[in-house]
Parts: sequence; structure tokens; C-alpha cells
Amino acid sequence: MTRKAVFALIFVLVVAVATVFLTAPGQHVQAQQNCPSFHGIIQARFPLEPPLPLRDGDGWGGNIYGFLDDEPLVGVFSGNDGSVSWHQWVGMGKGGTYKFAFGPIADNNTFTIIATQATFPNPPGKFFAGGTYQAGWKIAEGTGRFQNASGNLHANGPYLVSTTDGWVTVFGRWNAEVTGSICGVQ
Amino acid sequence: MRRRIILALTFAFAVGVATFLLPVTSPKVLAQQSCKDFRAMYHMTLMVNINTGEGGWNLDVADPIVALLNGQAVTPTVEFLGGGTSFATGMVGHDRGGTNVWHLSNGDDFTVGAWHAIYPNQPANTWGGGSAGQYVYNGTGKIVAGTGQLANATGAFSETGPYIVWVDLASDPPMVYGKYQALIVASVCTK
Repeated sequence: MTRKAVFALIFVLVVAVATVFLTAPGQHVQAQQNCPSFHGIIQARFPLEPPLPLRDGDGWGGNIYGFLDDEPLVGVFSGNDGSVSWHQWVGMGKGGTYKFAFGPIADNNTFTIIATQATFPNPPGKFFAGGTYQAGWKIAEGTGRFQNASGNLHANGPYLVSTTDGWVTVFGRWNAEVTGSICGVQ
Repeated sequence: MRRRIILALTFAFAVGVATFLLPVTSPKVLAQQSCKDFRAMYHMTLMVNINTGEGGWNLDVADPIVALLNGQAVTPTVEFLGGGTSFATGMVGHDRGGTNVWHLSNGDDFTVGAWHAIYPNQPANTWGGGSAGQYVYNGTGKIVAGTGQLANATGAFSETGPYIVWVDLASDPPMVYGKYQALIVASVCTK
């Protein structure tokens, strides 16, 4: 009985010590990781005109207006949906990436996201070609102020693709809201 | 007494006939009405000189409206004729009244009236869009007139979209800027 009591006391002591030591580093990491919220709107279109696209091969692009906490951020962006497959009336993009540049492009304050789960339903009868694009965006890399940036964003908004000359010239528009948080911004 | 009974019977007969005829004629009226799905997206920009208070929201001229009427692309312009009022009830801003005319391709227009929109009414709401932040504008109206192929148009009209407002005190003069992106969904009905 005495041995059981000793084991019990040792166990309680180990749990208490582990709780103290495990909690402290966790809080330390969180304190180091400054992750302000981001929310904004983006106005995308195609075809693009200079200075867009930011990268060769990007089809969509436009402007972004947002707040990183209370700081206004204005920039441009361009990107693509990656490989697109259609399942009934729902399009899915895999491996899509978008690059954002804030302030003057020459300042090179950029980050690039990877679309982790992009879907764009196109309900029949609702649009000739259009619907709502939504995706989870993971920040993969950055430069300048965003060199060490990480975080997750969510983009959601209506799009519309059409033509006025029998699909010789195609144009598109996508308006979306973007929310999430961006860690490690300088 | 007899006259009252006759009047009562006449009234009852009239109600009966009306009850019978109205359901028969209504589907006929509905069947004659053709409604087209209208979708559009447009952008607006806010620029206000803080020192003078001059400026306001304007359509992005360089960014044309894109729209579909029953799935066919049209290139509309919109004319804000004014006549409405803006007021606040607590933290809710309202736009009420006013008339907008949507000019579609080939001279086919429709007019939107009975406008009522709501949006967050922030403190220091002196720049036509609230203090710095991101908000949502929601409006509904009725299509009350039309021309061309949309003559005598009726229908429902709704508009919604996020807008963002920020302040640049470092600029000369200090400015308030904003961006708004609208999605229009309407049903344009003609006989």
C-alpha cells in the first residue's frame, strides 16, 4: 500500500513538472509568433494588362485592398487555378498559386499562396459561365516585409466569365473577400 | 329587410364570381410574363479630401461593368439619378429612395426604384462610407419601368457587396479612400 502511494505521488509530481515545462515553451512560441489578422477585398479580372501578370502563365489578376490589423495594405496580384477538373457542375483546382505584391512593385514586398482547396461551383442556369470561387490559401513564401511570412487565408466571392463576340474574346471578373491571419510580417 | 337580403345575396354572388375568376385569370397573366435573369458586377472608388470634404463614391470608369442578361453578355452602363435620402438609425445606415437607370445593349433600359439599402453606420461617418474598416452594403429595389425590348419592365433587383475604407493622413492633402465591389442579381420581367 505504501509503495502504491509512493508511485501515485511520483506520478502526480511528474505530471505537475511536465505541465509547468510544456506550457511555458508553448506560450513562448505563441508570443514570438506575431500573427495579425488580415481582411480585405480583391478585384480580379482577365485578360490582364501591364503591370500584370506578376508571373508568366498567370491568367487572373487585379487589385487587393485590405487591412493587416489596422494597417491598410494596397497591392496587386496575379495567379492561376492550377490543374482544373470538373465534377458535375463543380470545378476544382489543384496546385493553384497566387502572388501578391503590396505597395510599389519595385519594393518587392510580396507573398505567394498555394490554394489548398479551391472549388468553384457553376450552377446550371444561374450563370452562362460563373458562380462562386472559394479556397483555402496557405502562404508558402514571401519577400521583403513578408520574407518570413506564414499563415492561412480564406477567399470567397462571385465570378463571371463571358464574351461579346462568340467566345473569340473571353473576359472574366472575380470579386472576393479574403480573411485570415499572416504571421511573421516585418 | 328584403332589400338587405337581396344586397347580401348580390354581394355574396359577386364574391363567389370573383373568387372563381381570379385564380383562372392570374395564371394567364403570369404565363404571359417573361422574366430574364440579370447579373452584373461593378466597382466603385471613394476619394474624399479630408480638408475640404469634397469627393465621394464614383463608378470606376476604367473598369467597365460586366453583366449577363439570361446568360448573354451585355455591356451596361448605369445612371444614378439621385432623389434618395441617406440616414442612420443607431449603428445602421440607410439609403432610401432614388432612381437608377440601367442602360443595356441596343437601347434596352430598365429603371430601378423603391430603393432601400443598409450598411454599418460607424462613428465619424463623415466620408460617405464610415470610418476605416471593411463593411458590407446590401440593397434591394424594384424594377419600375423599361424601354425597348424591356418596355414596361417589372421585377426584383438586389445588390450586395463588401467595401473597404482607409485613411491616408500622410498624403497631401490628407485623403480618405475606399473601394466597393457590387454583385447585382435581378429578375427583369416583361409582358
